Amino acid sequence: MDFDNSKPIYLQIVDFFYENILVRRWQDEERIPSVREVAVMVEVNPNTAIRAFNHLQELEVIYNKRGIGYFVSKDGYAKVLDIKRNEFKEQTLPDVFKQMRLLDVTFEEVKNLYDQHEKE
Amino acid sequence: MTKGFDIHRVINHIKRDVVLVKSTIGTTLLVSAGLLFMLCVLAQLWDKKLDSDEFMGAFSLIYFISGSVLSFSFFREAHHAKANSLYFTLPISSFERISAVWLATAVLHTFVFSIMGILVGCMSIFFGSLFFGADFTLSALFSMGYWQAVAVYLTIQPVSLFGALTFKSNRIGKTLLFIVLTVLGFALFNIMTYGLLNYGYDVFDGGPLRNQAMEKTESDLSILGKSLFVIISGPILLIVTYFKLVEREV
Amino acid sequence: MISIKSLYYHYPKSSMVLNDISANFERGNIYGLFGKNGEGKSTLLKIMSGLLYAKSGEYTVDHKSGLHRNARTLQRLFLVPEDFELSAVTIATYQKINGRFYPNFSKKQFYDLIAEFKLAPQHHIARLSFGQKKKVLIAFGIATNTPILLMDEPTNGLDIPSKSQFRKIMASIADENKCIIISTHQVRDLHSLINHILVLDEAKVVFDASLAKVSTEFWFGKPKSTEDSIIYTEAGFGGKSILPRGNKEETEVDLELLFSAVLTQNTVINTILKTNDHD
Repeated sequence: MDFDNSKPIYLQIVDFFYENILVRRWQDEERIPSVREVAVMVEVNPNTAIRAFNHLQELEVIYNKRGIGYFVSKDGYAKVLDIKRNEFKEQTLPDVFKQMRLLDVTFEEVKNLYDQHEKE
Repeated sequence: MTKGFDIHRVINHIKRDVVLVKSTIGTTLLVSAGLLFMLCVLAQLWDKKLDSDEFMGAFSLIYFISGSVLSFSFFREAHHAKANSLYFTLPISSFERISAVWLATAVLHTFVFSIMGILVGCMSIFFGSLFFGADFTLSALFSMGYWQAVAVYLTIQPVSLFGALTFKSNRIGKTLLFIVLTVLGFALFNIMTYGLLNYGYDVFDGGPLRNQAMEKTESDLSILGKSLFVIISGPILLIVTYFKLVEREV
Repeated sequence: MISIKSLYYHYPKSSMVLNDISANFERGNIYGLFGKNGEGKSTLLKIMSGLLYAKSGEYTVDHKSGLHRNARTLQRLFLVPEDFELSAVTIATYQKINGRFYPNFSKKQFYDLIAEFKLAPQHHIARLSFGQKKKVLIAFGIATNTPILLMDEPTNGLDIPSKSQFRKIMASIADENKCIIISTHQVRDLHSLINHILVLDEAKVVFDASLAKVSTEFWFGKPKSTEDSIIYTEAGFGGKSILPRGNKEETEVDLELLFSAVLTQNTVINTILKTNDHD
C-alpha cells in the first residue's frame, strides 16, 4: 500500500476497509482479515493496524467475536455508506465549491457535465 | 534461571567447531595416518620388527604436530573482521567457549588420534609381516610411553590455543617466536639466578669446589626452570587464553 | 525490558562516541534508532550485544547487567549486523550448527522464511550474494525468537521488492513480547513499521519519543496561513513544515522532516514535548 504523506496511516487503513465494504468485497456479517493479516498486507506496525480496528469498532462498522476474529457489522454497509456520504458532503463538496468560485464555474456548467458523464 | 555453566552449550559449540573445521580435521588426520604408516613401515624395514620406542616416537611426533595444526584452525572466526560479531554474539559464556575449544583440541583430538594410531599401527604391522616377514609385535602399540606422550601434549597444547587466539596472522610463526622468546627468557633467568645465588662463593675462579657447586646448582635450577616452564605453558596459558577471550571486543 | 543509564564509550584515542546515553526499551515496540553516519548507532547496538564494553554506565536486560558478554543476555537477543560474513556452509548446516544455541529457535519458521525469500536449505552460503546472505541472517534472527531483535541497517543490500518483503515479515513477527530496535539512516524504508524513535547526534540522545506522542503534539504538512508558528520548514518551494498541532487534525508523522528538525531545532521540539508531558 502506498501511503499518502499527510493522512495518518491508521486512517488510510480505515479507508481501505471502507472501500472493501463499499464495493461489497466484504459483505455484512462476513469475517474480515485479522489485525496481523492487515498489518502484513499493508506493511505497518501491528499497533497501527490495531488503531484502525479500534476506530472502526467504535464506529460500529466492524465487531469482534471473541476468539474468532473480526466481522463486518450487520448494517456495516449502510454505516459506511452513511460515513462516506457525510465525508463527501462535508469535505469534498466544500472544496469543489471553493474551486468553482475561484475558477468561475457555474452550477449549470457542472450540471451539464454531470449529465453528459452519466450518459456515457 | 540461566546456569553459569551449561554443558549443552559446550557440546553445541564443539559440534559447531567440528563442522566448521571438518576439512582441516579430515586433511590432518589423513596426512597423519599416512605419515605414521610410512614411519612404522620404515622402522620395520631395518630390524624386521616394530618396537614400542619406535612406534611411540613416531606416534608422539605426529600427534603433537597434528594437534597443534588443529588447534591453530580454531578461533578463526574471532579474527575475521566480518564474522566475529556473529561469533561473539552466540549465546555462550567465555568459560564455556574455552572449555569447548580445549575439549575439542586436547581431549577429543587425543581420543581420535589414539584410535587412529592403534589402527594404523596394526595395519603397518600386518603390512610388515605380510610383505617382509617382520615380527608380529602388536604389544609395541601399548606402552607406558603413551601416557607420557598424552601428558606432554596436554601440557604444551595450550600454547597453540593461546597463539591461535592472540595472533591475527602468521599465527604459527608468531607462536613459535613466542615460545623461543619465552625459552630464552627462562634461560636468561636461570643464568642470572645462578649468578646471583653464587656470587659470594667465587664460583667463577675455577677449582674442584667450583665445579661441584656449579653442577649441583645447574641440576637444581634446571629442574626449577623446567617445572616453571611447564606450569607457564600449560594451565596458565589456558587461563590467559580464557581472559583474552573474555576481554575480546570486536 | 532494556534499561541504559549514563553510558559512555569511546574508541581508543578517539573522542566520545557515546556521551552519557540513557534510554529504555520496552516490549511491544519497534524502535527506530536514527542518526547521521558515525553518530554511534552501531556502537550502541554493539554494546547492547556485548561486542564492545562500555567505559562506564549501566545496561540491564530484564534487570540483570548485560554489559559484559554473558550467555544469559545473549540468549535474549539477536543482532543482525550491518556488515557480516556467514560461515561457508549450506543454509541447512548453518541452521543446524547455530540454531541449537537458542532455546526458542523454530526450524519451521526459519525454513518458511527461507522459502519466502526464494532460497533453499541446500544452497551454499558462500555462493549467495550479500543481499541473499542478509536474508538468511534475517530469517535466522527471526527464527531464534529472542525477545530482543537488534538490526543495524537491515534494508541495506536489499532490492526494492525485498524491502517490501522485509516490512511484511517484520509486521508479521512484531508482537507485545518482542522488542525490536532498528538502526537506519534510510528512514523511508521503515517509517510504517517504527512506532518509537530515538535520535543520536553528537554522541548524545537528542530525541526519544513515541510516534503517538509526536503526532499528538505536532502537525506535519504545508501550513495554510502564514500566521502559524512554524517550528521547522524545509527549504524550497512548497516546503513541508512542522507546527505545534494545537486543534488541528492529526497528520502522519513525516520521519525525514522530524529527523531534520530534531537536528536543528532540538530544544524547541523537546520543550514542547516536555511541557505537555503531564497530560
